[in-house]
Amino acid sequence: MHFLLTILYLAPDNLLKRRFSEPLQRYMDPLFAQNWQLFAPDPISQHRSLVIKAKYRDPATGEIRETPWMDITRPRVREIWENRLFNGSRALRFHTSAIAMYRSEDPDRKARGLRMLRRLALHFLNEETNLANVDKVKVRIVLNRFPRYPERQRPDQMGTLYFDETDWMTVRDVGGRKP
Amino acid sequence: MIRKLHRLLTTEHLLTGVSLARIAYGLFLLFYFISHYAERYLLWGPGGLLPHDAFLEMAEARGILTLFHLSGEPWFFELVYHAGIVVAFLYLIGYRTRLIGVLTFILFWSFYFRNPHLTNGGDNILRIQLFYLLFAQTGARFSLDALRRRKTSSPGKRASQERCRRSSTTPPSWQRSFSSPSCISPRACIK
Repeated sequence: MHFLLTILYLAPDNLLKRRFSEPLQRYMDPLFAQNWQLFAPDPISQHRSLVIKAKYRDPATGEIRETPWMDITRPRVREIWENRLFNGSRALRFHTSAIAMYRSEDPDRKARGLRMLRRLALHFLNEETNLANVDKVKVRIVLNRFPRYPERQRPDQMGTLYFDETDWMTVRDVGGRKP
Repeated sequence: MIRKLHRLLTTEHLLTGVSLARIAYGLFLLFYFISHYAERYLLWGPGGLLPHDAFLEMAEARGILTLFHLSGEPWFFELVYHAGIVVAFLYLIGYRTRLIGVLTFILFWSFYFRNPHLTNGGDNILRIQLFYLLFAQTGARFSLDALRRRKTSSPGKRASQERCRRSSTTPPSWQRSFSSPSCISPRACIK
């Protein structure tokens, strides 16, 4: 019985699955929940990365200044290329989850995605920069839809870029950013 | 058909396979904890990528309970993380596998749901497999448990067990009512 339910749970969308969707979900989640399906996923067709900028108070003049855009995904990717075993691939997964959630149509997921993006930006500012007195932060999602298969000889940089940007987010608790 | 199903459910199968699975999962878990040691706070810590309050909110929405519900203090996180390393090692070497199997499942479950945004399909399968393995004799081979059993049983008893094992293909009817594999269990035979 359990395995029949598991097959139904993992099957592609069908009438039977829709009919019993709620009890099925109740039985499977969270103990037997699975986040993949028994069918091949769509191949990756774009690079996704995050760049951030921050507004901070200049300690010398007291003026509010803005940093240039800083890529926070690339250093993680480079880390993985350099060390295939002990690397930051888990943290990079958090980037892709945050992007997927922020781009979701569901307002609740989108709000959670926004919080995740903010968290990533704060972590980067905290660990990778010497900026103090950060006031606000903004995250931009960069999607590079690289050349399709017939144009595979062209480099990925020749792809089309799409941007999705958050509003400026207030950094309320600067002191508590460090774990 | 019923007979085959009955046999499938009441006799031991693939003890070597589940024991090897235990070793493979134990190795993976050790690697999992050790390779993420430096960034453990970032990934799962109370002030990490998913802060403790956001985790509690997410867990409540899905009805999930983990060890991290007990406390959001950094010392408690350290305790659970280091316990994870010790338990993964004990699982690998097959020490008290019934108890350690349960602890391994609870620990991995806790880390899995502490920050589900970090997980992949492999973690997902492992989480489910560890649950299924709670019902298997993963310590039957290549384990300290197996070594201890061999040491504690005398040569005479071992011969008796061997005879029993050979004659276990058709268990007597009084044993068929038990869901546990009583005939081929050495203890039942020695009695």
